[in-house]
Amino acid sequence: MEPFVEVFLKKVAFPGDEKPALSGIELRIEKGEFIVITGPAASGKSVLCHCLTGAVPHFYPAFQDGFVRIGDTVLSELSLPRIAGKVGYMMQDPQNQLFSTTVGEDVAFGPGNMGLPRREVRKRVREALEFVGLSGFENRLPETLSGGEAQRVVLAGVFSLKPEFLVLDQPAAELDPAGRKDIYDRLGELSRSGKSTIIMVSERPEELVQHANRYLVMEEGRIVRDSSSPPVQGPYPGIPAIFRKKQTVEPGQEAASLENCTYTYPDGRAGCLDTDLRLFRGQMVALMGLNGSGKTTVAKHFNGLLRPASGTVRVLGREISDIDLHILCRKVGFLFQNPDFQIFAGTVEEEAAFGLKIQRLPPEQITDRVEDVLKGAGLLQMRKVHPHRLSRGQRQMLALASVLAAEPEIVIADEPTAGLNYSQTCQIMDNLARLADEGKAVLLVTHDVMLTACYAHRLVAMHRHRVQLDLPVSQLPVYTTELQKIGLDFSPAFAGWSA
Amino acid sequence: MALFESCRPRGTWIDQLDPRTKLAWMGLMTILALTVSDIKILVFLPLTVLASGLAAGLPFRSFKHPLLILIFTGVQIVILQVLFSTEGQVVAALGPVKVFSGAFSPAWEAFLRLSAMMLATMQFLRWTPPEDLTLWLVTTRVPYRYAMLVGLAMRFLPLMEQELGAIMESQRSRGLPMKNIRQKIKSLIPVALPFLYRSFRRANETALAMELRGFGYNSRRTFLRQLNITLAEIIAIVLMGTVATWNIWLKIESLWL
Repeated sequence: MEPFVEVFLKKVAFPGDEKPALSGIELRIEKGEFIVITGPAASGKSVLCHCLTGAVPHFYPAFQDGFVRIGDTVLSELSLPRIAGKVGYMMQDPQNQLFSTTVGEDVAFGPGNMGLPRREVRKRVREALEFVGLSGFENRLPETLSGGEAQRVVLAGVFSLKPEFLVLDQPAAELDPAGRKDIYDRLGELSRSGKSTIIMVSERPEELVQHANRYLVMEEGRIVRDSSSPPVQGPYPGIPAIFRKKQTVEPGQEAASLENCTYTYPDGRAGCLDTDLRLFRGQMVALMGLNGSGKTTVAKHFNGLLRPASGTVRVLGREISDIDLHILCRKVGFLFQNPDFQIFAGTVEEEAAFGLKIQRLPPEQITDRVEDVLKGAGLLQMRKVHPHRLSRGQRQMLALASVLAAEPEIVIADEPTAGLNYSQTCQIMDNLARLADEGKAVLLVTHDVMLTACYAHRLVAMHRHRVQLDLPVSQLPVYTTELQKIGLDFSPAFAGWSA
Repeated sequence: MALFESCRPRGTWIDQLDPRTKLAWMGLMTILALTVSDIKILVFLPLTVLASGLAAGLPFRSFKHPLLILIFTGVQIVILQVLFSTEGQVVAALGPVKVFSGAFSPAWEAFLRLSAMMLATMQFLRWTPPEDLTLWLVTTRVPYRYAMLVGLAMRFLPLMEQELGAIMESQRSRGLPMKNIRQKIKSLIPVALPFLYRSFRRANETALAMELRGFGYNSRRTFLRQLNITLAEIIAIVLMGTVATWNIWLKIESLWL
């Protein structure tokens, strides 16, 4: 009997690329399967998704030797709008996939394009929003949605076309654990109901064990593992909190502090309320909390991007109101979640040297420092390469390198590993841990309980814009219930080690 | 406040109006601003626009940016008039520059005309949902592929503004000063290049996502809503059209005479 989806791709190559993006892909997918694809950066996961949705060769011109067949349809023989309804594709950034000014219009986009009667379109909108748990959101504006809500609206928009085959490329990479679980549960339900066959790229296959039945590992454009069990990766090479009987690092001198800080955004949204937070040299503090709990707002106070409406911010013993922002930035390095918000130079080394050139350091000093940080980031060999030729993980390393080149005393990293795979995450985190070991103060804003448990010395948990808990990571096992109450579930971090 | 703020339902009577009525109102205000010569009526026009906007539930802060731009433009108009007008009597002399009494009246008139037009346009964009514009364009037989571009632009402008803010924050965090004009000009490339890169990437992803949701599948599509114009609105449009036409006629007549 013929499988529901058959993929036979001998070779897929993009113009100008020396190596093929995919080679020797043979895949047979039965109806109702839930398949997870994982693998290192540039291993061909996204290209495979493009092939499975017809984006290659219709949207991204590439040489394709082979075919993708879904049911009776060979994708290369249909235009993309004709493929809609058979295949649903959800990419990583939800805001790029919301085209209308209200949620209702957006979910109706697909059925409307199909020319279905208005009554049927309304019915599908209602059903799709109900399925993703967003009934009543029809008149909401996309820009007012949280990351998780936006992701669910995109899913509803894709689902409203009732596709039999869903392709999802890291659909929950930027969500907090609760948001990810919610999306995965809904997808699992969809798969079990037999309404859709799902193939999904994820850097955390272990999070999908409840739902997925098959795991593919890709490397260099090939499927190197096809198994019913997820690949084993981790734990991270830090010291797990459960094994820390006491504080592993005695806090050094205070590097920065917030005292009773309150910040409200100009549109009236609360940022942080009466927040106290102290950062010490030689210590990595993990700042955790659900999306919208105020973590990034707090972090931005330390380098003066935000100034509190009330309260005091001190950096290296001085109130920041006395310090110019561009001076403060030399002392406080800020690594953002998305490196593409800062990369602009023509080569890796120019990018790393940018901050130093602003400081007008002597050229020899700039060359030395850039060489050092690029060596530390593993990018020295690529110093002449254009930054956008690097993988996402490498670009994040470059962003970290350019922060470190300024030799800051305090480093703030806001979700630096979001969307990165295991090895890239380790690389970034090992670098941050080394900085703390060298006596710098590190503030890590993260959703990842494993990272906190393995690398941080202290956890500061935020809930509803306030600091709820501030404790040494060695005390984590004692506070699991309190943490669960504010949406931080550390049990997965401990389960493996306890066993 | 964001410069590109989306139109959102206000829960007032304005949400019930057809976009054609709102368009007629904007057209009337624009034509009156261009044709009326009486300074008292000209003063009344921008105030009417402001008052109607506030009555429709638009917050005063949504007029903040246009008013600031208007004040900036108004100052420039006054300076230009003062520099080049030689009407009336000399009321002041600053070195070689003589200020004539006739400079102020045309400057004031131009400022009022511009204010009425600009505020009316801004008001139209703030209280007309883009999907209403799309539906109106479709009723005028504009192909939906083009008509929907209005909604798409309105959807992404606030998002692009947010992203520009994030890029500027990111570069400021690297020590890039952006306080004065000179520094802002110097920061153009470090800000513009990531912004362009992100915009191209967004355009690409959006286009792909749209096609994969059937955009362009048929030559016609179903919209979730339909425009419904009431009899009262039709009468209002006819009245506004009559007033506008009458004023244009009066203006032409005055020019001939």
